[in-house]
Amino acid sequence: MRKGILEYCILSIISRGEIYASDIIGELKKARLLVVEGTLYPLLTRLKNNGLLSYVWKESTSGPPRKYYQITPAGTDVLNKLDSTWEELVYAVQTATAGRPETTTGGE
Amino acid sequence: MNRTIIININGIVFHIEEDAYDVLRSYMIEVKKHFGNTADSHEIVGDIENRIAEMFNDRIVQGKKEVITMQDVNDVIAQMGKVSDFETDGQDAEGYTTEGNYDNPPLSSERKLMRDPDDKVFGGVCSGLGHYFNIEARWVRLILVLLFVFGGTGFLLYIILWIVMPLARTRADRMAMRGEAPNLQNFKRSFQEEMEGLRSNFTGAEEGIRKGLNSAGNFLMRAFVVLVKVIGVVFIVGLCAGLIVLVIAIVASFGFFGADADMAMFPLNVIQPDFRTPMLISALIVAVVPFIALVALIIRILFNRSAMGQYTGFTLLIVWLVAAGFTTVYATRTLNDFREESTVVEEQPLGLHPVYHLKRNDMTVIRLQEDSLDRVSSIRQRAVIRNRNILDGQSRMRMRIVKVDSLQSPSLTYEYSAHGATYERAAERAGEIDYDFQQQGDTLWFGSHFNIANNDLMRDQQLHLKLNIPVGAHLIIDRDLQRHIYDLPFNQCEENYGYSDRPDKTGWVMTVSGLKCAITPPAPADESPTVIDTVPAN
Repeated sequence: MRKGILEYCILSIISRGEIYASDIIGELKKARLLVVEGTLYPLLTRLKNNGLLSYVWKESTSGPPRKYYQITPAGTDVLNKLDSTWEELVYAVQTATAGRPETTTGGE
Repeated sequence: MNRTIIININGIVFHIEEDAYDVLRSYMIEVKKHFGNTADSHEIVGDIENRIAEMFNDRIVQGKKEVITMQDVNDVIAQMGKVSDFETDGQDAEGYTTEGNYDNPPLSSERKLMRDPDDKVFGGVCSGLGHYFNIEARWVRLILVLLFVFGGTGFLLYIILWIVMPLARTRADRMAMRGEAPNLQNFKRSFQEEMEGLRSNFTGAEEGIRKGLNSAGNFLMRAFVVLVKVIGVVFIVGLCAGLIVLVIAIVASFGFFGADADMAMFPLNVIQPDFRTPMLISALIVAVVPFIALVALIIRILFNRSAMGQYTGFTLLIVWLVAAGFTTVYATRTLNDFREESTVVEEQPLGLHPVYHLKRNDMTVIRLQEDSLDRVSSIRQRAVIRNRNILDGQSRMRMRIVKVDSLQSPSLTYEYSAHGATYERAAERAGEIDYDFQQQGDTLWFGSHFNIANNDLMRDQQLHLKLNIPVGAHLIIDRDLQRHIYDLPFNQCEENYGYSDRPDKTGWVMTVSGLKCAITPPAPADESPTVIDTVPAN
């Protein structure tokens, strides 16, 4: 179920502006979505290879140069489509679960 | 106090403690293996390394904390996530699972055949075999001991395996040897086991001694060690004795038969006199050095102590190579002298007689000349004769008997042949062959051997005689000449005589169809028996 959602979130985070991989982690952790960084790099590479992301190298004050990711126009298109898909999904879920007696809400 | 290793991640240098390095390295290997089958793996691994470098960099405080510790590595790995976490969380990355990377436990079934330094009697060969075949080392040892007792093959097998199997030096090697996947969990486990083992070693020293005394297996093993070492010593002593005998034999033979031209024996008389001494010395070195190396190897294997220094060994190797080169050069030069072959033909007419007695003049019988009665020359002559016995096959005269027309006169054709570097040299050498043939009335005296001129080298000199006999002539051939004539059926002719013993001489007659036995077989008179004895005329 989380398949695709992670990409959606990452694309969303990057769409706000140039961002460094470990900052993406921070954002994801804040959203309690991802635990380890190792998962992120394959995802980013795949999104980049699909043309949704690009990156630039930037010198860092301490340590090696960093890759800063930014979204491409194609990425924005996909993000918009995902937005509407997500809204449809939320609507579907809300409609389907509406009127249920109060129980514990399912986990993530 | 800890040893540190200097590593370089993406161009940044870190000092890292040894055990932390081991963990980090195996982590990176695991990561690489995880992404190994995909096209993007290089980039992903690069990103991860880059990030690790950055995290390390954050942890370094100049002047206060300059070394990456185990704690740092663990923290960084926790943040980066274990590879097993990539698997569960990263299942959405369907592109990376296609190769079935996660289905196989990585490499766990692949064991490496290595010697185990932690569990060894001599070299850890048996325990290594045990790990490889997943049996307890003691059974392997038992099998080898049995093999050793029955026929001694176990010893050889052990030596070969010792040479072939590498020692498992690093922790990763040892894990590969036990067939444990080189991942983080196993790595930590191995590390902890090792630490615990070390601790118990410190505390349980006296317990260890007690255990050693109690265990009968251990005792047997020690007895076996002693036995093998004793056998090794005997072996070494034997080798050394053989070596000394070899040296003495070569030096002695060198002294006796050395450069003296007419007393040189077979391998030496091929070589030019000037080359004999260096050739002998270099051949000696070529033969002896491997002996010494073998002894040193055995000492090293058995007693784990090198018998010679590095430089000695190196010097020996150089000396051996030089000697081998020397030998090769002279051998090639000598071989070159065999390149061309030349034959010199000479014909001598014989006095006409109806019957010829063919007799052999034995050149190996000592015929001391009157002026050489002194002791030295008689010894010398004896040496020459003994020499000739050894060379019998080489300097023996060979003869054929050939039919000529009845009107032609009988004759003897000499064919001298020899080898040399050039055709002219070969011909010259062939001309120097000295052979003694005499006709006394109807008796033909053939020398049994030919002589090579003094100081001439053995160059495959040969002498073939062709006795041309007109049709109708009779020959009476002595028995001791038979082995010089190679195409007559002497056996059949001797049987025709019907004696109980072999006849001293056989009679032959030259016919139009070749040389035939003069005696026809006694009993079966029906068929034409002469056909059997016919030699095709040429």
